Amino acid sequence: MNTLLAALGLAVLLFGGWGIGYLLIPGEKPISTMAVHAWLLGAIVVTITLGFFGTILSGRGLLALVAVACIIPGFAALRKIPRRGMFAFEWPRPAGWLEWTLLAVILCQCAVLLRYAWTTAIGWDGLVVWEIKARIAAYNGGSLPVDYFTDPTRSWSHPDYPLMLPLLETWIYMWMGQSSQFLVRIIYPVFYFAALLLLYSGAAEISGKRWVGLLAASLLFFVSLLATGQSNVFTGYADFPLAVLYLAAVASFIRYTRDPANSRAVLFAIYAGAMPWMKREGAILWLCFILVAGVELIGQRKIRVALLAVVPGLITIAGWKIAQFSVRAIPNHDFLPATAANVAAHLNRVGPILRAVIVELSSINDWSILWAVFPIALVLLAAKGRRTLSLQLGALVFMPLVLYASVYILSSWNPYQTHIDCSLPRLVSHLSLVALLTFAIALPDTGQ
Amino acid sequence: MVSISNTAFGFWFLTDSQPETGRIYACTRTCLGAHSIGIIDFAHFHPSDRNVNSARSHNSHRWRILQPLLAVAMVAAFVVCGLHGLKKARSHRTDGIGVLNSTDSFLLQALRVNGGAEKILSAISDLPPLQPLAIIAPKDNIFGPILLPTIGSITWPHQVYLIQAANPDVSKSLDTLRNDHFAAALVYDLAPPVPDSGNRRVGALTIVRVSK
Repeated sequence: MNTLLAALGLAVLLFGGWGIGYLLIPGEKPISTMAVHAWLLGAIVVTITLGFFGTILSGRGLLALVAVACIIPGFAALRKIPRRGMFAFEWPRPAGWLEWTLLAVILCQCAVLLRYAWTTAIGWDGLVVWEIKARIAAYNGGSLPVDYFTDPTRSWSHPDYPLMLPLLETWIYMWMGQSSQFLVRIIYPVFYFAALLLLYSGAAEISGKRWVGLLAASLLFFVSLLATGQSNVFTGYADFPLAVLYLAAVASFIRYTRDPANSRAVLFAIYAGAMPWMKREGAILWLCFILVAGVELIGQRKIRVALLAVVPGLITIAGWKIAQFSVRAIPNHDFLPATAANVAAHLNRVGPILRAVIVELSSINDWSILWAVFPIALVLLAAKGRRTLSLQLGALVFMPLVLYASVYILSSWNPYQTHIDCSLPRLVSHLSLVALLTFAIALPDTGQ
Repeated sequence: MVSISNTAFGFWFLTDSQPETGRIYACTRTCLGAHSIGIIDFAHFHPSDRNVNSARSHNSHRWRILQPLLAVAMVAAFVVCGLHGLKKARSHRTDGIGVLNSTDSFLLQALRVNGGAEKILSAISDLPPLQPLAIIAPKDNIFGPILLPTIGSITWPHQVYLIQAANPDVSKSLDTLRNDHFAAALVYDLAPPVPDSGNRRVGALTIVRVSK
């Protein structure tokens, strides 16, 4: 029964997300992109509605309100669909031995990973940083009580961290009427599936070849940190979902540059704006993304679109800051205040940090050869005549990487190397899906 | 740049005798049998594009052969190295298959008991929720710091403190907790306090009610 209720909660979420996606881009037909919009937009709507209205409502009232917020756009989209076109999604049918083989490989990988996900426990941070919030919110009728944010005995659970993932878990718990660390894991394979579809649709569209899309999707399995590593997709960490949002924003942005419709700009602005709602590092990703998108849009003299793209992220960052301030959330003490004196005093860390980054990027156990081939992919992409795309993708990976590495200069951990060891692989994972997409679309044309 | 469309319809030749600069308006076409006429979409023809000599075409031919080899080599290396990493799966596994609680899989290591989360919750269910709990663990025991967030993540709204005791005799600590209005002490891996019918055991954890 609980499984059915959890599935019903997910179905309502997907219906709402699909409706919003369809209303934004009515002409979008491929089932792969529609499914991704359904999941990501649904998750964004549900968590923001839960977070916002959870301050005034709780229990069944809150559940009903959020469900209505999903059902209204879903039905609005259904009404907009021409009767004959109701089920006119594009179901891509593989053509040729290569596409069939790659599809079979992906299906086998999914089967292996589903078996693996079944027996993978929620990891340490997944449990004591993210799931705890969902559990407490579910206990409290769907929203986190103010006492939690100020509870000094639970400061280890980082009360100041954003709530997208915990509230997504809360949504499942609310439908079940209880918390279950077993059933809540249903959402993580969905994020993996979303990543597969994003890689497939992004690579296929940019390269113009479907087998490149299938190849990109099949290679995800071989990035072992994401599939089976310590903080893999199934362990309940927010890093993989953040990477999926980043990839969605980047893929939507590339799509916009090829088909500049304002609704596509809204889409990448929403995905980028949701990143700081998923994890604090999302603000860094958002900043880098907005810089790259802004340069492109201003270059095209689309100042209004550029300003529009900034709005969702600003609302998210400012809204969460105001919420934290109003509940007096216990601040995080992982970093020293960013003063010139502190930076100057810890500049001697630059060498070891750089060394740690190089060691991490060259870890075959974590990344296969992803980071070794990424610069080659950028060069190959430029050689294919896609210099702008190559520069943009390079900036979208290297800028956040430099910023991520730089923050360790102000780490308050003692020794700070422990901080690097604990978090650097996960930070790098945020960029890995975009790097994988780059690798796939830059592959030399084999002429299939 | 010259872009060619509809090449499937016929054969097209761009020769060195093309105009010096600007647009190209015609080129030699060989069209056999029933093949339709292709369309060449002329764009700007940069003067540097004219230097198409045999050496370059030889290189481009070689590159065309190398391309698939490079692609296959990179993907194969990616897959082989990825498989190497996959073998070293490091995530925490649950025991067996079924309805499993992830907190249990962590508690199992410390308490050496299955279903620890449910048992702890059941043991503290009748305690006043607004009174805090204290975990008392031996000072140098590595599981002490792990128990705090593990138990703290399931026992809301109780506040949960960790006391790392240097002395195996916990009776003094219990007196202090009683005076500070704690609900219960969760004594871990230490000599059990004076037997009391109210105490409950969950593996290596003894839950001692201290609230009056």
